Amino acid sequence: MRQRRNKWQFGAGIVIILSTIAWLSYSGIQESKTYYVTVSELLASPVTEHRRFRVAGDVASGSIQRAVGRVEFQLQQGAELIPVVYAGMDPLPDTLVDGAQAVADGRYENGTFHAEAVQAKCASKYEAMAEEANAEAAADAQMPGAY
Amino acid sequence: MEIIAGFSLCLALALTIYALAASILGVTREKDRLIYSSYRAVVAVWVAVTIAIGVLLFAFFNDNFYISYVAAHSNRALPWYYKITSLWAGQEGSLLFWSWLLAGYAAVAVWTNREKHRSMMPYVVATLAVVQAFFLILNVFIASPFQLLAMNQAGGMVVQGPLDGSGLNPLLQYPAMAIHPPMLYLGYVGFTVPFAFAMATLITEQAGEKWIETTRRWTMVTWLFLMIGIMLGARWAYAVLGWGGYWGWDPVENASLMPWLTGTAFLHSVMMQEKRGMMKVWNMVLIFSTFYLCIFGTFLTRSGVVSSVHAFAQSNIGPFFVGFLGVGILVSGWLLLERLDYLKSNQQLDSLVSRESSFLFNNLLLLAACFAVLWGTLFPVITEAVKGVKISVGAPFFNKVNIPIGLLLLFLTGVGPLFAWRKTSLGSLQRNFLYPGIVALGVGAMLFALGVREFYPQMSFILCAFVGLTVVLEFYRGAHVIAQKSGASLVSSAVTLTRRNTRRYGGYIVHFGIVLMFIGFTGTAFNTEREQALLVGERMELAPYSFRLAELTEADNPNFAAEHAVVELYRGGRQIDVMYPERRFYKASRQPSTEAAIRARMNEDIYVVFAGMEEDQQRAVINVHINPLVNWIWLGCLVVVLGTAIALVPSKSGLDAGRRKKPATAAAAEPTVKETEHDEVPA
Repeated sequence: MRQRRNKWQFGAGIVIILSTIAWLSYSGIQESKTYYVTVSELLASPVTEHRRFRVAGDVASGSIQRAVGRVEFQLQQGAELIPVVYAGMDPLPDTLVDGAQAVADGRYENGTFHAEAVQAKCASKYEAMAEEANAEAAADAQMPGAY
Repeated sequence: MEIIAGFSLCLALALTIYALAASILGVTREKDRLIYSSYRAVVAVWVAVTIAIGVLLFAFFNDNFYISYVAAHSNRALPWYYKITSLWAGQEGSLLFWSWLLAGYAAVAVWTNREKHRSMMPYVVATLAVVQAFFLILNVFIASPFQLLAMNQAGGMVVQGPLDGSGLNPLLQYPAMAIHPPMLYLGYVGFTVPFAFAMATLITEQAGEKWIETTRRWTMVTWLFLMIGIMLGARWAYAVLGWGGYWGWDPVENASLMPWLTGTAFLHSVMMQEKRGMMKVWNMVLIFSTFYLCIFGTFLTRSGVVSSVHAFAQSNIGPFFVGFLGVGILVSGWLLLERLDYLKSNQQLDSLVSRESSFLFNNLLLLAACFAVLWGTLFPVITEAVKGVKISVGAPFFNKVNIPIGLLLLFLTGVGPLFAWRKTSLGSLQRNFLYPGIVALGVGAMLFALGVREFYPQMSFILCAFVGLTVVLEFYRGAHVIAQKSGASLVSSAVTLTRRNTRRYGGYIVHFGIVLMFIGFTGTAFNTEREQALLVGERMELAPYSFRLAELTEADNPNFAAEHAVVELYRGGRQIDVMYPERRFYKASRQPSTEAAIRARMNEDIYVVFAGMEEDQQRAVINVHINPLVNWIWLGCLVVVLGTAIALVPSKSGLDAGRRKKPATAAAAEPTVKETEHDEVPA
C-alpha cells in the first residue's frame, strides 16, 4: 500500500516537473525561433512579417557605412542585394569587412533587414593554400561571431 | 621530420590494433602473457603519439611553413608560448592532441589498475583501444596535421612553404585561451576511461561495486578538468569577445556543458549505487551518455555541423564521427539490454523526503537541462530534417528553460545532502533547515525593500542564502563538537572535520562554490550598458560613473599594432581610475581584435570597450558595461576546484578506522567525532 502511494507521489512530481519544462521549452522556442535563409531565399520568401530571420550572404564591396550607433551595409548573393541596418549596442565583429561572409540576425521589414546581431568571417590570406586551410580558418573564426 | 611523425602515428595505430587483439585473445584463451603485452602496447602507443606531437611542436618552433598546418596557424612573430597553443588551434592539431591525451590517460589507467581490477582490465584495454584506433585513423588518414604544402607540381613535387605563416587567430591569443582547450580536452578525453570501465564491467559482469570506486574517482578528476575548461572558456569570452558577457549559448559552449551536466548527474547518482545498490542501469546510461556527449562535443566543435550555417565551411570529418557515435551507441545499448538482469536493483524508494529522492530529482533536472540544451543546439538540424527549413533558437529559449531548472537544482543542493537515506524525520528537517530558512526569507524581505523585485533574481538570492547557510551550519556543528572535545579552535576543528570525511565536506565546499557562482550569475540581471561616440576630452555617463576620453594613443610590435583609448573613470566628480581599452591589428592574419579594459571588483566589473572610430576618424566609439557580481563566478569556480580536490584526497581516519556502520538518520542529526562514515548504509 505504502509502496503504491510512494510511486504515485514520485510519478506526480516527475510529471509536474517535466511538463513545466516542456511548456517552458515550447514557449521559449516560439519566442526565439529564427529561420535560416540565404539572401535569395529571403527575397523569395512569401512570409516575412513577424518572423525572425538569420540571413547569410557576402558583404557587398564598399557598402559598409558607419554612423553613431548605427551601421549599414548590404548583403549580397550573386546579383541580389539586401540592405542591412544594425543599430545594436554591441560592437560589430572586427571581421566584418568588404567581401566577408556574414550572417545577420533580425527582422526583414519593408525591404530593409533590421539586424540585432551580425556575425562575419574573413576570407583567408593565402589564396594559393589548399581549400582546406581556408575552411579551417573559417571554422576557427566562427566562434566570435556567435556571440 | 614529418616522415618520422607520420611513421610514428602509423606505428601507434598498429600498436593500438595489437593491444585490442592481444587483450581479447589473451582473455579468451587465458594467456596472461598476451594480456600483459597488451598493457605494454598501450604505453607504447603513448610514446609513439608523443613523438608525433613533439615533431609538430618542433615544426612550430622552427617555423616550418612547408607543413600546411603550421603555415595556417602560426607565423614568425608569434610569441613562443602561443606557438605551443597553435598545436590545437585547428582541426588536425586538436584531433592529434585528443589522441595524445587519450593515449596518456589510457597508459595511466591501465598501469595503475592492472592488479586491482585484474579480471576486467583486458576489456578496459580493448575498449580504450577501439576509441584510440578511431582517433588515430583520423590522425593518419583523414585529418593529418603533417600534410605538406605542394606549391609547384610541375616536374615532380617541389615542397616549399610560404615565407611566413598566416598566423594564429587573434582571438586565440589570450592567456586563458591558451589553457582552455587543453583543460576542456582533458575533460572530454578523460571520460573515455569511466566508459571503458563501464563496458568492461558489463562484459565481465563484475561482482560487487569495487569498480565503481575507481570509476567515480576518474570521473571526478575529468569532471574537474571539464569544469575548469568551461570556466576558462567563459572567462575568455568575457575578456576577449567584447560583448560584456561570458556565456552565449553558442553550440560550441553547449557542447561542453552537456557532458558536464550528465557527468554531474553521474557523480551524484553513483552514490545511490555505492550506498544502496540502486540505479545501476541508470548509472550505466549516464556513463555512456557522458562519453558519447564528449565525442559529440568534439564533433560539434570541430566539424561545424551546427554553427556552420549555409555558407560557413563544412568539414570532412563529420561522417566519421556520426558513424562512430552510431556504432558505439548501438553496441553499448545492446550490451546494456543484454545485461539488464545483472544490473537489477534490490532496493526500493521509500520516501519522497529522503536522500534517494533528492538524488532522483537532481538527476531528473540535470538530464532535463541536458536534453533541453541538446534539443536547442540541434534544433536547426532537426527542423531541417523534419520540415526542410533550418530554424534556430537563441538565448531566450535556453534561459527560459534552464533558469528555473538551475534554481530547482540550487534548492536541492541545499536540502539534498541533509536529507537522511531512506526517510527523513520531521525533527531533523526542523533542526537543519529552520535557521537557514528564516535567514533566507529575511534576505528576501531585505532585497524586496531594496528594490530587487524581479522573481528569478530574488528567488536566486534567497536560495543562495539558504544553501550557503546550510553548508556553513553543517561545518559549524561538526567543528563545534570537535572543538569542545579537543579544545582546539573552531577553524582548526573544521579542518580536522574535513580531513576525517573529505568526500562529505569536500562535497559541501563544492556546493558552496556553486552557490557563489549562482550569486555571480544572478548579477547578470542587473547589468547596464551604454555606447557613445566621444571626441577627446568629452564625457559620457553611466550611473553612478562618468567616463572621460582623455586621449588616443598608438603602439606597435612585430605581432600586432595597437590603438588605446585612455579613459578616465570618475565617481561623484572625483577621478578613481584610468582604463585602457585597446584595439589591435594582427599583422600576420590581418585581423583586428578588441581588448576590453576591465576593472574587476567584488561588487561589480566596469567593462570598457574601444569599439572603433567613427567615419570622420575623430570620434572614438566607447562602449561601457557595468556588470555586477561577475567576480563571484570566478571565485565560486575556484572554490569548486578546491572542494573537488579535497574530496579526491582519501579521508584521514577512513584509512585506519575501516568501514563502520551507523544509522544515517542519527548521524545526520547529531554530528559526533565518530561519524566519519556518516554516509554509510543505514543499519
